[in-house]
Amino acid sequence: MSHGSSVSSFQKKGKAKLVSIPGTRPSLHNAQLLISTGLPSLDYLLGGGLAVGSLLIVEEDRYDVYSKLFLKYFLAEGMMNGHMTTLASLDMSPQSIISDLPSSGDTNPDDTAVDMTDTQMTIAWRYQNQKSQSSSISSNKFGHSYDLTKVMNSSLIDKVDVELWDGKITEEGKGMVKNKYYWSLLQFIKKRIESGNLSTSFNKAKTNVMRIALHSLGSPLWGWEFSQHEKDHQWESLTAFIYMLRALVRSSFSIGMVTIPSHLFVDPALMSRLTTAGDFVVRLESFQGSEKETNPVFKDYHGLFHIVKLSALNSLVPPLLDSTDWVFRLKRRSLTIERLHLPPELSETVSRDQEETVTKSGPACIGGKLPKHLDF
Amino acid sequence: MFKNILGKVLKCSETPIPRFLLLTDTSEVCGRGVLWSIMQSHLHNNASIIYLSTELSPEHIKSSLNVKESNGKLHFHDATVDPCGWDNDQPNVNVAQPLHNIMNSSYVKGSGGTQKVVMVIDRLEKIALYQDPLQLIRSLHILASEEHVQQLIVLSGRDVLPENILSAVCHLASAVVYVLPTTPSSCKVVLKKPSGKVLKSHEEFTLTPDLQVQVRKAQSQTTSPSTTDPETDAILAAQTTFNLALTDDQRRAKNNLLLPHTRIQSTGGQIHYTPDDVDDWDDDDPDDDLDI
Repeated sequence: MSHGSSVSSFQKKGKAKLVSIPGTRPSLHNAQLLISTGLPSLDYLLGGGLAVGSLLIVEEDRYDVYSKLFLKYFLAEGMMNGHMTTLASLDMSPQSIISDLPSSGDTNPDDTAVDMTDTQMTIAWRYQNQKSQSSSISSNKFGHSYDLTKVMNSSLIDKVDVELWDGKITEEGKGMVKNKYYWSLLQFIKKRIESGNLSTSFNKAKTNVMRIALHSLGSPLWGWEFSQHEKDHQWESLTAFIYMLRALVRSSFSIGMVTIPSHLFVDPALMSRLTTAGDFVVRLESFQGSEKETNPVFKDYHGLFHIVKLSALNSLVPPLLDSTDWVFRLKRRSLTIERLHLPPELSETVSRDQEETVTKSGPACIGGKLPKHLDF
Repeated sequence: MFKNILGKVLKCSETPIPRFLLLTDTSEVCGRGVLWSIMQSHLHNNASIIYLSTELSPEHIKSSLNVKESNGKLHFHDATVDPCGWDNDQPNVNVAQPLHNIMNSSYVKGSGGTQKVVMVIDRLEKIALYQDPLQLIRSLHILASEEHVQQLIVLSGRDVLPENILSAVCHLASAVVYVLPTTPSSCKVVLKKPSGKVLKSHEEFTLTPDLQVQVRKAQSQTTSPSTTDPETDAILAAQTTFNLALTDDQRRAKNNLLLPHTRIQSTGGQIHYTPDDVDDWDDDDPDDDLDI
């Protein structure tokens, strides 16, 4: 029973690395620096968290309801940890996204006084003397719980270095990125990284990371990507942009999260090119309005969560998952990603094909709907 | 559950009002009646309307709408005659210009200040013939997000626009109405609320000559096949060698029967045990923990 900093006495072997950036922790698998995406279930699927220097691409659901929530969780987690944030959107004003973030239920540890006159523990009485968890973790908490019904306080957002990009100021595209919006956004991000001294070539120790959130990249307002064919090499702008964004993010202490409305792309080749350019790619498929909405298997859930790509960053193997079918569910206060469990097959509901070929009894005027258990 | 979404959209009582309403029809059914019904509601609410017409002349529209009755203002951009300016160097409307420039030109001329207008584009596909699709979509987005525009209503055909443009415009729109060629006429409505909720419904409507609409729930096209009919039940009962049905007497007798476990519960059970000769009956309690 240690009076250490956590309830669990498990300590990772090796010298304890002093993590000085709030909201990050080294991965348990390969000591890679990870940040939380705001959703604990998504962190689990990515191997403990999203690695600093990687790019997560989220393919949007049909009406951009749930992907926007993913983006909001990502931003809210950045606010809670004080990470630098860059948000870009053409479809809706970035100000409206940033002013509607879910608030966290975790209170600041300095504010709460540890209540020492707790009730006596009657069952776990051996833990009575152990210190409670909150005191020494202080500000370096990895992942918070959020409540979607409450909006984050704007005073918390004002304390954080946030820059919004809405496409009003643009410069002409150059080189492979001919589209002016992509080019201007790339320059904007580059300037932000330089001003925050986050580049890995800059030798001083880093004290912060930057979260880059791009909403609805590749939507009709950005360019002609949704077109049938690759008209005049216009796909080049988006694919080159994602590739350059990944390069920027890799060479600095930043993390990129991009949502793309891939359901608008007529040619699936475009999305497969973007998949190779990104590190982690997931796709949301919501049941709203599709025939799967009435499927009893999916009764409790709001959509399928497809993991398209997981990459092996600084390791030989990407994070291994035991299940391949994942679903997401939006409860009133939170969004979770769960394994899809198919209901157990009971003998009455299973249709046995070999019994169908047995001669059907009864008059020929009845259709094939006779139950099979008529004879004993 | 009948939501009457179409009724609310048509009477402009949906709050908040969808900024960008897309009405789609096909070559088999014309959605212009629905469009004029919405315009009637707007005129009754004293809104001013800027109407870009590409098929019908403004005089025809005015006479169909009976504009004299309402107080609202109705301003037309006539793109039916010489839209590209081939005959005349200064046509009424030059459809090659960006759409938001065309629509906003009359707004600036009209009353300034903060009065909100409703913009109507009749037949998007006719405009799409003359403009770059990307530019057109950007113009629609600009128009829908401008402050002085209360609502942008676009009438378009589903089967004459290229699919990618149609899907892009549907993606941008806050509410989409698909008028279907069924009898009686019905339409599917998709409404995206700003809170993120998406409502879909399939509703039937009738349009009266004075452009009032009555909406009711649509009959669902496919009914799930019922597993048993009463007829097949009777036939099946004749097939079996036993009879599962109960007569009334039998049912009453069944209900009155007191089952053994219920009898015990009401009267209390007793355990009668007679020990065998090999039993070692000991009255003591070996653990000393019974507290009877």
